[in-house]
Amino acid sequence: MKSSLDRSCLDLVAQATFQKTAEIGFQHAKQNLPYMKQTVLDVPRTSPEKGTSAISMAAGPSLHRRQTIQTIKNLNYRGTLIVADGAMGHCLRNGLIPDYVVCVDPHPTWIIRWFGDPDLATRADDDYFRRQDLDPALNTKERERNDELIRLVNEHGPKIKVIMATCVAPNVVARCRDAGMSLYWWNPICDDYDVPDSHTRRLYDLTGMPCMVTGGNGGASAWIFANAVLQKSPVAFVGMDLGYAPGTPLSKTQYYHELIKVYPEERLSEAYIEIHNPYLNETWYTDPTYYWYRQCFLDVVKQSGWTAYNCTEGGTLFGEGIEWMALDHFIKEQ
Amino acid sequence: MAKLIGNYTVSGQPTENAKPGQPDATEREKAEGAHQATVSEFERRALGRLGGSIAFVMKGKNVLWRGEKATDSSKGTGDEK
Repeated sequence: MKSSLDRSCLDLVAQATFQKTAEIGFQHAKQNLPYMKQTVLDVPRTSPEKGTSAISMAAGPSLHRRQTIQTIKNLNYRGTLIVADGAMGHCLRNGLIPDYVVCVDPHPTWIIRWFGDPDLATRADDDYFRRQDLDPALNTKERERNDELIRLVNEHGPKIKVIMATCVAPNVVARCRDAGMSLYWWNPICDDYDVPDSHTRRLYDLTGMPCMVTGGNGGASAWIFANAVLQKSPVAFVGMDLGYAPGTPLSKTQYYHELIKVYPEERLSEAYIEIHNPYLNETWYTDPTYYWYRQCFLDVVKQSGWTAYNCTEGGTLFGEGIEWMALDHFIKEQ
Repeated sequence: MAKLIGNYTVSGQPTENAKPGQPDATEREKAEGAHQATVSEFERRALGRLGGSIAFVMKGKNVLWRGEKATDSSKGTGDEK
């Protein structure tokens, strides 16, 4: 495995992301237009009893390894909880109702699974959810878990506000509306909006919705939303490993199927990057996409000047502007 | 000019957005060309397939943008706390 990825490699991932998401996202935005009634700036603020702190949650393996939700519940955390869509099911199954869920990925068929997919039986079979460690509950009994999630989202949806990117697939929008969730819209900032042919400006001109920096994924967007829109402080994040725990098989990594199509099997490990975490004294590893997410997040923290409290208790995300902290310590300080 | 980070070389991005102290576009392209020669073909092909959830760019401290005209003094919320 490598020890880092240089700028030109990061550029390739960034460009692949843009190419994969920009045009389909614009087409989705056009279809979503009739439902864009409220912007992210209209979102109701949390009650004063919740205080000024917030926790944003992504769906990394440390959620399960560190029993993050149990800690939040056991310590009776009263602050604001903002989750990426991928983490919502894990919260609901464990009796924790988030205040906000952030949805940004325009993938046409995967994202609805996080809300319970009413059409799962008709989808082409894939093992995307079964092979990843984001939510082990989905690794077995996929249909039963999906039915359970549909019930949970229908039951709790009206209490959860969705911070919905305009580019998200219309089936996700329909699912949220059916579940009685309130939608608050925003455009992802995908390129330089000052350039004449800017994709971001095109989205803005189409929708009129405010635009927000993404950080590259839903977990980062949740943390940015907590700071920029809710203006919470301090904001911790959990479940944002951006990597794989020691011992995780390569075949259980998110981009394994893409990598094995291109890499010779005996050289597959060269695609991955090892990162020694000095706070854990453990060596985790990550793939190029997660490494790009990591760099995006470090850039946001550095450039925004906001302090990020990493209470994940695992993973690869540390650096300038990031305070590493145990979750129970962060909660007890509030 | 506000500092731009993120999708560094997306087409249409003007070269004046390069960070201070960085080589100009031609030098950078040459350096990248040299690097590309050392990166295996399958690695380049793999990286080109590994897109993330959503593109990322951040301009200066601006975390929110509401259609304001581009200037150095455009207001964001990133520096308000």
